[in-house]
Amino acid sequence: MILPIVIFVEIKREPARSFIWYLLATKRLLLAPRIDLVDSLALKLYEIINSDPNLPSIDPPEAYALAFAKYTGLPLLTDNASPKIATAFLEELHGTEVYDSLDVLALLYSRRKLRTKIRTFIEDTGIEFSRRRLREYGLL
Amino acid sequence: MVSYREKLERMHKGVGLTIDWKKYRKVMKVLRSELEWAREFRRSRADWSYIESSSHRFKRDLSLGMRLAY
Repeated sequence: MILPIVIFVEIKREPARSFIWYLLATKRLLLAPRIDLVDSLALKLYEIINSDPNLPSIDPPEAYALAFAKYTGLPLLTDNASPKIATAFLEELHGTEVYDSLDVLALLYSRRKLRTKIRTFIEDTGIEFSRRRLREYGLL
Repeated sequence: MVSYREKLERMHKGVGLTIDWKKYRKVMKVLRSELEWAREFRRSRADWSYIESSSHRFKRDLSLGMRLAY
C-alpha cells in the first residue's frame, strides 16, 4: 500500500497516525512524496469536478489521491463517491480503479461470508451501502 | 445561446480533460437515484423528536432575539 504524504497530513487522530507508523515500520506501507506531475492532474480534476454542480464535490487531498492512482496504476481506496464517479466518465481516468469498502470486502471474503462481514462493517463504521451497490454483488 | 453541455465541454477542454458524454449521462442517472436513496435513508434514520425540539428552541430563541433587537 502507498499513502501519499498529502493524505497523511490530513490524518489527525492519534490512533490512526500510530497505526500508520506501525504499518510503515513493518514495511507494509510506503509514504509517497508529493510529485509535480500528479499535482498538475490533481488540480485539473479538482477544478473540473467541483465546477460541475451535478457532481459530489472533491477535496484537494482526494483529488491528489485520484491523480496518484492514475499515475501509479494502483487502485484508490476511498469511501467518498466523487473519485469513483469521475473515473466512470473522464477519459483521462480510463482504467483507473477506485475501490470503496464494499469492493474491498468483496475481494477479501467469499459470497457466503460477505453478508456477515458487511453487517459487522456497517455496525462498526456506520457506513451504509445502497441497494444498487449490494445488488452489484448479488446480495439482494 | 450556449447550452449547459457546451459550457461544460469548453471548460473541460480548457482544463485539458475529456468527458465521455454517453457515460456522463448514464452516471448522472445512477447518481440521481443514489442521492434520492441517501436522502430517504437519512430521513428514515433521523431523530425527528430531537430535530423538532431543536427547531422549536431555535424558533423561540430567534423570536426572543428579534424582540430584544427591536
